[in-house]
Amino acid sequence: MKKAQMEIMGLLVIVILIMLFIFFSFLFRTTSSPSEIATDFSNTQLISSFTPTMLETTTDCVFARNNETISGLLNTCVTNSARACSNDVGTACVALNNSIEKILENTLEEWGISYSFNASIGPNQITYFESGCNQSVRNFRLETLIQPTSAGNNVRLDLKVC
Amino acid sequence: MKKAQIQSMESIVVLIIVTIMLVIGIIFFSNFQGQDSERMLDQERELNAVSVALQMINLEELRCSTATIRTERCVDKLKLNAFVGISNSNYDFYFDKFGNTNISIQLIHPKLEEEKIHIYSYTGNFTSASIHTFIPLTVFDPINNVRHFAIMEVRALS
Repeated sequence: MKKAQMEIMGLLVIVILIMLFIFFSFLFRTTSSPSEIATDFSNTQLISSFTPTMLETTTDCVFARNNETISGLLNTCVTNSARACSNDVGTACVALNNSIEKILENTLEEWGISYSFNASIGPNQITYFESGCNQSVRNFRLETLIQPTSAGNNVRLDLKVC
Repeated sequence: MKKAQIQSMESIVVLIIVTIMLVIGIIFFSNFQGQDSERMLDQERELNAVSVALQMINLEELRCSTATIRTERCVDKLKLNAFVGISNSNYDFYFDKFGNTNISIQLIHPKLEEEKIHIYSYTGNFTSASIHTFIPLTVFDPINNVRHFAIMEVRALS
């Protein structure tokens, strides 16, 4: 091998060493990104408990001297949407919307979390709230709950967090 | 300059370059290690906050129960009010369970005048706080038969 060839080989070795160094430093940087187990777990807890807890919540709407829960209002809104609360807070559907709106406004919206909440029976929408999380957003977490009604149909409740 | 001198100069330059690369590598490595340990500490704090929140939800002193049947994700408001006093007077006992955290429950809907109930507060010194952990739960008021939508907020401190 000539001397010039030897020098080129030497240069190549140095270039390979530099490339290896850059590769490993990038690899180290990407693998050492923080694992977000705790944050993920916390978010999962938040989203998975949100809708079931909301359904149990007492509302301002009174039927037969008892304050209805959101779950009860949802049932009434599906089975008898014209039924009005006895304490002048509107119909079951209006009271349902008001209660859900207050909860979402004071939690997810206040914390700056983008969300959409949808309650529907098949193609018929019962209620829908959204804050920066429309259908065009691809990266989201969805929690679905099926709530049976006394009419025999199921209400699908979707909470989407983007 | 003689040929031998040029060759030894070349060797010295190569040695210097390799040494510089090694030093830069060590600096990078130690920097990442430092950042990593900070991240690990943050993560540890967050995990601690999540674990404390879960313990708190399942705490027998607070859980709703009807005819000995316990309800999930539910805190009894009367027990909660009583617990605030107990946790202050038995701080050492609850410090073993909850450590360096601040725990509070905020009633979201229906709202009351007293919206935020501080259950446990770490009394020691702290320099930083991790991100909050929020867990939705029901606060049941058995006297008025009202179920409040509430958020338990756990803040881990260090």
